[in-house]
Amino acid sequence: MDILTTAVQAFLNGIFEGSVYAILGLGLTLMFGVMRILNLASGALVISAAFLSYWLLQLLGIDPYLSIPIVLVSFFALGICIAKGVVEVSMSSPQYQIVGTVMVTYGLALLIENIEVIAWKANYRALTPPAYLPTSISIAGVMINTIRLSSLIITVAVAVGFTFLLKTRFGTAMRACTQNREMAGVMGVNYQSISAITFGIAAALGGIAGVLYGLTELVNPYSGMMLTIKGLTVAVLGGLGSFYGALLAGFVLGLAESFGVLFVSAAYKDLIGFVILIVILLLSPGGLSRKEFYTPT
Amino acid sequence: MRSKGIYAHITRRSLVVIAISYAILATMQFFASPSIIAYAMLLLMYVALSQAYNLVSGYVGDLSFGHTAFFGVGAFTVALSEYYGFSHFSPVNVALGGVFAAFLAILIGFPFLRLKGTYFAIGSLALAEVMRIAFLNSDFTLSSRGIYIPIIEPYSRIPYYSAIVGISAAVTIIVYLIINSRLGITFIAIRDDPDVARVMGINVTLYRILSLTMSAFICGVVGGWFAYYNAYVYPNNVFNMTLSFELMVMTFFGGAGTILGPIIGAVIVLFAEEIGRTYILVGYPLILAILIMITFMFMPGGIIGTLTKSTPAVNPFSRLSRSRKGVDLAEHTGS
Repeated sequence: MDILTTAVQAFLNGIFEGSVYAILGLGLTLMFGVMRILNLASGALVISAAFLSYWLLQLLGIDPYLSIPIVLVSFFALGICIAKGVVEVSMSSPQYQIVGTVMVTYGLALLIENIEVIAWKANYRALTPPAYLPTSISIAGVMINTIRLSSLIITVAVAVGFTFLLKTRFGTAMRACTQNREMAGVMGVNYQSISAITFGIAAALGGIAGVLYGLTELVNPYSGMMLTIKGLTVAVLGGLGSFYGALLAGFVLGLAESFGVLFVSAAYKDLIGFVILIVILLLSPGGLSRKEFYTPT
Repeated sequence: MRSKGIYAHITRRSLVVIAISYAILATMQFFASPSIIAYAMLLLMYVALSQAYNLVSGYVGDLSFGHTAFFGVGAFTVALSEYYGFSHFSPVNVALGGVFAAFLAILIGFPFLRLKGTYFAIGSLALAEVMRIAFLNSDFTLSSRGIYIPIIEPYSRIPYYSAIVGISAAVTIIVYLIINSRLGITFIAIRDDPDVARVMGINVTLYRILSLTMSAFICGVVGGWFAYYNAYVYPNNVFNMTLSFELMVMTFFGGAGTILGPIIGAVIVLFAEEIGRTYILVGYPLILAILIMITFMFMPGGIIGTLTKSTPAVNPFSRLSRSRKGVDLAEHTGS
């Protein structure tokens, strides 16, 4: 009975943590699929969203869950601005496209991190969950943390929403850009606009992930890089460019970490993700989806 | 000597500049203040590391995010051989550090260098982090306590300073010789078009492993020196992800694929960090971040790359009149 409880607990933990990873990975894979760039600033944007929600709560008393729409809209706009202002310029030199975008996004990450540190110090902050939620509820005899359950629910909602998005005209254009940029252009898709909007969507997704992450963990401005790496891990695991692969891979990573720490100590938690990443890379670079949308040069 | 096209980086001018700089540095140790010497030591360390990084990412074109792994291996080799009494204060330790790092490169080279660019970058990052966490939690390496390395009494900076001047000068000369040789042309060929290189009969994977191994050896040796200089080795210090990114920034900022590039990059980046530390205190990489963004938005070839016109500078305003595909071909075929 004990082992069963532990296993179920670990499973649930894994699913809940995995939900945040899933959104994280989806954003990264979106950007990679459409624009072919690795956005090293994604973690920093996620943490910024957590801070936005934190300050909205502290200064204006806005409930974290209510701040999600605000975060969505503002980060969508922010994403478009970043795409148009920064990324497009660095992408215009084809010879240095990969390096240029990597460096620019890294610079952006550093910029965001350090502006935040200067503005409000590097203390760990906690986004306190609203008081009207019970801390945990009991489903079928297992104690489930409601906040983590809410992150799972929100992730599922995001996934459903994303499915609908893909069916729209815009979604089809997005998928077209993922598969073949030039042909999409021939078909009348405005690549620059689609790229910018995709970046906005990815940033908005990161925003949601940020709020969810902030609710469950302490955040400080430097947490961004680790999240970026986790997001990259998830994106590669699911196959760079495969949307559903990223969602699936997020949960896989969450489960792997959760079960992994049962066998080795908790200090090795981050290690598990990296080891999985290395194994997947060596065995099948296309990741879980087995479809390599993009063969990088 | 020609200074255009493929030989843009191998000008005699560059070597003269470097030689003069080293002469100044070598004599500086006798009359400069300790803080300047400390700064110079750090600078020379980064110069050597950036040159090594340049070998892999600039000349062969394998963008690597995990070079700190080699640095850390070198540092820990020295630290562990001191701790376990294997040998004391000998350059053999440092050389051994390089050897172990090179060994690591060969070990991971075969599986990892089959991967294409982006995947190799992420894989190398994962590897470096795996090593960091493994070393942090292993009792053999004293886990999170760190290893203290004894210092020779009486303490003087001179031996450490001379060592790093010598090491970085040697590294620069070695890198210069490599790229000036057939090996260097091979590397550049692999970077520019691996498929054509394969057609020409070059074993691409072998040369990639070769460059990674050489780069790893250099990083390992510098790591070993750092262990002695810093007298304290701690996993989060020497397997630090930030170091990998710093190397990347320095190399590409100065101009990857050039001899002078990483040096200029290391100088400017370190200087920017120091200015940041002095005036902005906590958020000091801010200056660096702004520098990076401005450079890579407008000068993707880095400083040397743009100055020697081997890469076009990007004018953001011309973007408005550009075709959808991006760069106008005439602008791109420069020199």
